[in-house]
Amino acid sequence: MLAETALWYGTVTAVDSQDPDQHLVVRAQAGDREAFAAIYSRYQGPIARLAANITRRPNEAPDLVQEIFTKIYFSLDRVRSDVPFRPWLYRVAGNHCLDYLRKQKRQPRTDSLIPEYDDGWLASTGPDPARKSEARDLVDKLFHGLRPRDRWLLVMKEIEGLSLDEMAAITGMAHSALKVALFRARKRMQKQYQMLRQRTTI
Amino acid sequence: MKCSEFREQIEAGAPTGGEPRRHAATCRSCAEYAAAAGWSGALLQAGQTNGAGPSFQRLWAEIQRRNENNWAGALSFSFMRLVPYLAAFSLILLVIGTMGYRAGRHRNLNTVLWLAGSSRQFAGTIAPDMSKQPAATLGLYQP
Repeated sequence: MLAETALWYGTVTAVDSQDPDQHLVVRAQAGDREAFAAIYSRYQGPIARLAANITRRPNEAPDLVQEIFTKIYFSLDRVRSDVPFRPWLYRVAGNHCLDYLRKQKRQPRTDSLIPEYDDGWLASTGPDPARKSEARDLVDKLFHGLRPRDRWLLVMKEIEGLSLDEMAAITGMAHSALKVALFRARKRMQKQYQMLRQRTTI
Repeated sequence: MKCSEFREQIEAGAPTGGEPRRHAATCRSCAEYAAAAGWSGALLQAGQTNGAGPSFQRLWAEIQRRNENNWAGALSFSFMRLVPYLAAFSLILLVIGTMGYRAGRHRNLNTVLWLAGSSRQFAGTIAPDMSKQPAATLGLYQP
């Protein structure tokens, strides 16, 4: 069933009326604490990962998650039964992270050595914690130069592995627009990488 | 194969089969699209970070705290919304009161003036005839 409805942050397109979260949402709307606890336990992990990766501040993830779920609790009455809950949740979480990023003052960038990134380097990042940390540092630096919206799209696609359908439901964008936005975000990240490489090798 | 189909397949995962490969070999733009997707996908997977949420008890305590604040806020908000009405009501009362007071003063003054006028009239027209009984002067008594 396709339906479109105005929600808190805009519109979310309903793609499937068989929403597995719906009964929990209905109970939570009626004030059932256990139902809200079940929703939290189901989604706190993905939302914490999303927040940590968009902001690149894992230490602040608990506070961000708390703010996001508090916001969700007080907006539950605006969730319609014919609209899937998950895209709405991701939309609220994403928008909250974008707001957080916009409020942050720009931190001074530290130009440490940028590893030469190729397939071999990536393959070696697996079990080695030092390599993993190197990869995290690199993504931190690359994300620093990206727009908040680019970060959001890239995290949803590359880390959360969401489909274009789900991303369309979350962002309200058409598939074609999403593909263009993703391509541009990736190219900007590549450009950022090349700039950082040049700066640290000269 | 169309470019849009190829890109849909790229976003759904690595496309398999000869047709996407042939398309990438002939379409430079789609080849670039696929390369960028592969590059960023692998890098972000390798460099992803993990975060954790707070305990549900902590979250629930925060919700309760905000709920109480919301009630207090809602009450004060309701009161704040009433302030203009209260001010307007007070102003209306003040205006009515002032008008009533002035009208009252006016009425008293009129009474005084009327009495004064009557006295003058009394003094000028009736008073010389002091031989009459006062009641007869006022026309209440006919002897």
